[in-house]
Amino acid sequence: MANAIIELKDLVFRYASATEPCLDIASFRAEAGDRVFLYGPSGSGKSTLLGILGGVLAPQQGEVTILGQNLVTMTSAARDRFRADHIGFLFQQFNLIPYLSVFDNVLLPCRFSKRRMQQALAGGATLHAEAERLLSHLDLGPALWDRPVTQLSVGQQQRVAAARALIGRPEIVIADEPTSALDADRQAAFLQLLLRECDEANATLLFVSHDRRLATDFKREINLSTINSVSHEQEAV
Amino acid sequence: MNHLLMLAVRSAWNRRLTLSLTLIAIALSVTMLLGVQRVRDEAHQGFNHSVTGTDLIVGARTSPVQLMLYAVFRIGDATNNIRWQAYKDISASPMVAWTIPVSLGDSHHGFPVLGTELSYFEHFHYGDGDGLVFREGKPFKDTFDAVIGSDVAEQMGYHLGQRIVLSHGMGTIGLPEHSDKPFTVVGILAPTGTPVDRTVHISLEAITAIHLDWVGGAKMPGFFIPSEFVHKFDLTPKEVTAVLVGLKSRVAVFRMQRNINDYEKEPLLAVMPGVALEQLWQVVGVAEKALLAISAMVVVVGLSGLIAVVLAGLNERRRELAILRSVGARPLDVFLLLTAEGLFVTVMGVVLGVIFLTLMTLALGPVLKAHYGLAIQIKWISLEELKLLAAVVGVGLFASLIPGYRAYRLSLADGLTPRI
Amino acid sequence: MKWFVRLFALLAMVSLSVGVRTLANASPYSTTTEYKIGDTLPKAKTKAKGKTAAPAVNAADYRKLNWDELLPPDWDPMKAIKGMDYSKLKDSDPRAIEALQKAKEEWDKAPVVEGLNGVKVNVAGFVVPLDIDVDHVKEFLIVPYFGACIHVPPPPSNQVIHIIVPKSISLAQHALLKDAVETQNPVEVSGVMQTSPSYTTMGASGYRITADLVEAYKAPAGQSQ
Repeated sequence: MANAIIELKDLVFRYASATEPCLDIASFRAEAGDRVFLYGPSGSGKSTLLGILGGVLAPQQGEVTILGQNLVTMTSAARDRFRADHIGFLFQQFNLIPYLSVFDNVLLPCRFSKRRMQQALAGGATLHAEAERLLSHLDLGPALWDRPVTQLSVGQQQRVAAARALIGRPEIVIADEPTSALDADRQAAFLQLLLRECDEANATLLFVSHDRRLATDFKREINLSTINSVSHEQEAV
Repeated sequence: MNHLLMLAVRSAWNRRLTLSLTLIAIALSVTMLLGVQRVRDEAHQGFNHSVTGTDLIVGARTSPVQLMLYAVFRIGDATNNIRWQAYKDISASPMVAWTIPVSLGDSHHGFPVLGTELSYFEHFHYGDGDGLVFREGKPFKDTFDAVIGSDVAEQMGYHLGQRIVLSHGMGTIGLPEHSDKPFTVVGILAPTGTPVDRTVHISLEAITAIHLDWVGGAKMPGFFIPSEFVHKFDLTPKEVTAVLVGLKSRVAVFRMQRNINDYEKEPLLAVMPGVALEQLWQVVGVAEKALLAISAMVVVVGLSGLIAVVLAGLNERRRELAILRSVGARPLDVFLLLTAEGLFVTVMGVVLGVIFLTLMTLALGPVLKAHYGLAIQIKWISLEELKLLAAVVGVGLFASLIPGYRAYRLSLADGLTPRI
Repeated sequence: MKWFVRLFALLAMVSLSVGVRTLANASPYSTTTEYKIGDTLPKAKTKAKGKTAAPAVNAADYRKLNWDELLPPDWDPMKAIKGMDYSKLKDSDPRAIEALQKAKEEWDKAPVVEGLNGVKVNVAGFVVPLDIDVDHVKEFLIVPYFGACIHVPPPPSNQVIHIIVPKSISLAQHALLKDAVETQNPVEVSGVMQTSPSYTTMGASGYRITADLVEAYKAPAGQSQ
């Protein structure tokens, strides 16, 4: 059996202001190199789960073991460091910091994590060269590299964000509805690019989306409202 | 930490339009804070340097400060003169090393005219004990000779040999003139940085001469004494405005002061310049402190504006902060980032304020010199000023904690997924 | 995680207090004693036990001088009056007036103690400014009692010392002097005493010290104001 990259056990989370917990997951597991499609409509506790996986939220009960380390016993500062070192995030939109250049956006994780920086340099090149490599792989040509990020199209921005999530070879990539803001015909192309890059980096991908049509490329499909026993699922749009 | 600083700088630059207004506000308040202090120090120095080595100033019995202001700084009016005999009696005292009698009352294009003796050029000292030096020419010899200060020469464009006409009374326009008795400039003094520069010096005899045919401040109608004939009259002055006294030993000053104040023949006042100046500063000190407090308040107002702007912009930056959290920033980093932004703008404001100060000194310096005799120089920031600037930065840092803390709380609550 | 907020707040307070102190021109005097006109300072014990202020100049090397030591022992201006028997005089007796006049003349003579010339002394008193500048005092007179300028009668010339302040003394001492002038607090001056050449040239005699060290006045141990 392959090593579990992510393992959740008896996870219960309740917000301080709420009376009822919003997450109750008995068990969840992802292995190295997994492609996990997480179907999470609104109300299923998706944001909370991502917060826990990212280490910004700590559950009241249960175990959150990522890469063999239990996040629950870590201090919040240690969790932030852990996130910086091992996880790349990708959001639905507004992924980029408007006052930084394309390169500065891509290289952000390297500023917060020495490990990511060292791994990015491992190829023998400079950080800049590594960023260029990723951007090219994601179909972003040199013409776009010097453009202010606010002038890029949504699709281009998402791809820059993907490069940022991937730089320095984090073990896990968590993508939260990254295609939802794209045109229908771009969605598939983006997904393919993302999958290919994750393969190349041997990263575990956790892809959250409400669009089941995209699930075909994924080995595993999990419905969050199924594994979360306290989810308040609304009808999927 | 430097990646945070880089982020802070880039972030501030990105919002430079909104921030630049508060930046200018802070800069101007810093300029005002420093400028007020510099003008104050310059004024103090100008006054303090105006007379050195003079033990007593003797005049009619008015307030000590008024006598000082009038006799040394040529500000205000004398109420009464003292008689020539008093001057002679003072000079005769064995405790006295030298005396300089002075008479004021006339002017020339707004510059005060001082009547005095040759002892003035020998015994008058100022600043660090410097004596008067002639840039050109020499002291007055003939009755209608004049020696002018450097500012008079520069502003009026006078050279040696220039003929000038004096006016009766102090003021700039509408004064009656002693046009029948013009003077010739025979000496120009080197700059001193004191009221001497603005003064036209003539002999005491000349003062008597130009007022021979005047009575009570006006020319007597139909009565005219041409300048060639003035020597037919006794030109010994009957009165003087004040006498500057230097003693052989400075410890005798109290005794001398007592003797003069007890003078039986007329009411005299002897003033120690250092003491009178100190009294002046006590009086003025209250206003100075108030001005400084106001300047400090203005700085606080400027900084409040900055904080308000940063706070107001926080809401739309929650997405940006979530991105930073997602790449590994801790809530502490968010706090530091926002605090650093406020601090950065404060420091820029201080730097800009100093630049404004220099520019304003360049622009307004000549005006202040010409109209008020204040020579504000461009100079490096002194230790005292550095402390003031440090305090400004301190307040800026303190104030920046507010948006910093707010961002920290927001980031904690939002995590990776803010509800925009 | 609020520790860092407190740390920064502390830093800011420190920076702020530096500025506020500058604004308020904090006085080097820890306590301000209220002096009345004519108040003198308590006599110092002649065994010098001064506290060092600057490492280079040690006040303990200077002999503590009391003001009556400046008066020659044989000088008594009241001699002429003391010997008089008032009961034998009529009103407005010219001898009374003459005696008073003699006393005044004697008072004016104010001879100095030549033996003090060249001696390193430390003397405490109140400051009367002669030449001042923005942040330092260049020359001043030191007198035995508070309010000498308005005190009637003024001190005789041998109870006044002319102090010359060299520019080379420390900034702190300059600030102390300026403060002493403004607040009329007493100071202690250490330096070499000079007596002017002769007192027979009436009016030219006098004590002078070029200050080596200026300190705030410290009441001698065991004595209160």
